[in-house]
Amino acid sequence: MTDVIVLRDPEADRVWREYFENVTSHARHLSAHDRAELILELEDHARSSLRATGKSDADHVRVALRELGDPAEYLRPIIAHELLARAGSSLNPVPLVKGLTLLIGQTFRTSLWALTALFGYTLLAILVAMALGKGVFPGHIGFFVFPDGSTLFGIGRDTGGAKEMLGWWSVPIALAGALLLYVFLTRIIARRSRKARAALLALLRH
Amino acid sequence: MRDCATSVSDVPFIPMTSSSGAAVVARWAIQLHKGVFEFMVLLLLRERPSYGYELMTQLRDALATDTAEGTIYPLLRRLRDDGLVTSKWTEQSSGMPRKYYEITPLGRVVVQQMGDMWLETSNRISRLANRKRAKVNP
Repeated sequence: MTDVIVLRDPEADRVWREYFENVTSHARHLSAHDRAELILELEDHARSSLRATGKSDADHVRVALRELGDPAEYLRPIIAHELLARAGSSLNPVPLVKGLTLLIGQTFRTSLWALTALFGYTLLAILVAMALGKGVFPGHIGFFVFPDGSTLFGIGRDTGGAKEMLGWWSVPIALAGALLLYVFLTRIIARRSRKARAALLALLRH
Repeated sequence: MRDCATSVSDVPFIPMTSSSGAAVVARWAIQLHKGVFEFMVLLLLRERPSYGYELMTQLRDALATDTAEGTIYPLLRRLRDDGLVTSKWTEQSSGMPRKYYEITPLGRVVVQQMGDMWLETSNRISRLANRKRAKVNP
């Protein structure tokens, strides 16, 4: 059996190209070098699978690629890791949210962690909304103390009778809180997996 | 691994009459396989350097699992990031490149520790499983 797999069947060639176009699309968040390496490795895998059968018609190509799996699923951890690492170094929220979303549905622990992080970012968004909205709804945003002694920090619809304690100070306070939360969450996310695994390895070394 | 799977399927007192029971076992088996993949890959690489397809073929043979073969690549990447394996591209006789993975000294230490934990855990589980079986079938 030859070491080289040649797809002479046009249908097999189409199925192959379609699959790897899909891989390329899902791997678009990786660097060009990482993406090229990943594709080469997956192509080698699929070729090895075909070589084991000794056939390269469209049906066998389909089987080999089906066994390799759906790139949207098996590439998910790689892409999530890459996006979160990038978000950690650039503080860019777009790869961060995408990376966290990709983590949901993997393991229970990872999903819980990603949901907690997303909750933190939602809180951050509320702080930003407070800072931006104070000028438009000054009577509904801030730190309110109600006649019955209860308090509210944030955005409230029914603040009648309550005394606003912070005034315009709520804008810089909300912005500072949002900034601190953002830097903290993003840095923690970028370091989390690395630290957890380093701790495990240190434990195993003893 | 096989001993463990065999002992579960041999248990005669579990009435597997509902499809939900079978689904629970199937789900558990998937989680179990996922949990030992990392350990098994290191065990295989301890024997000799290997590449993704070869590793996955051996895993599938050993575990009789139908896990998507592509899942090995995130795992290998994670092991590499942790310093447990290294990788290098090698040109085959056909001229096509192939990525080989090799275990590092740290990887050898880790797989040894994992092996000890595995033996201890499987012994404990076996003792528990045999105790339960003895009570039901005196």
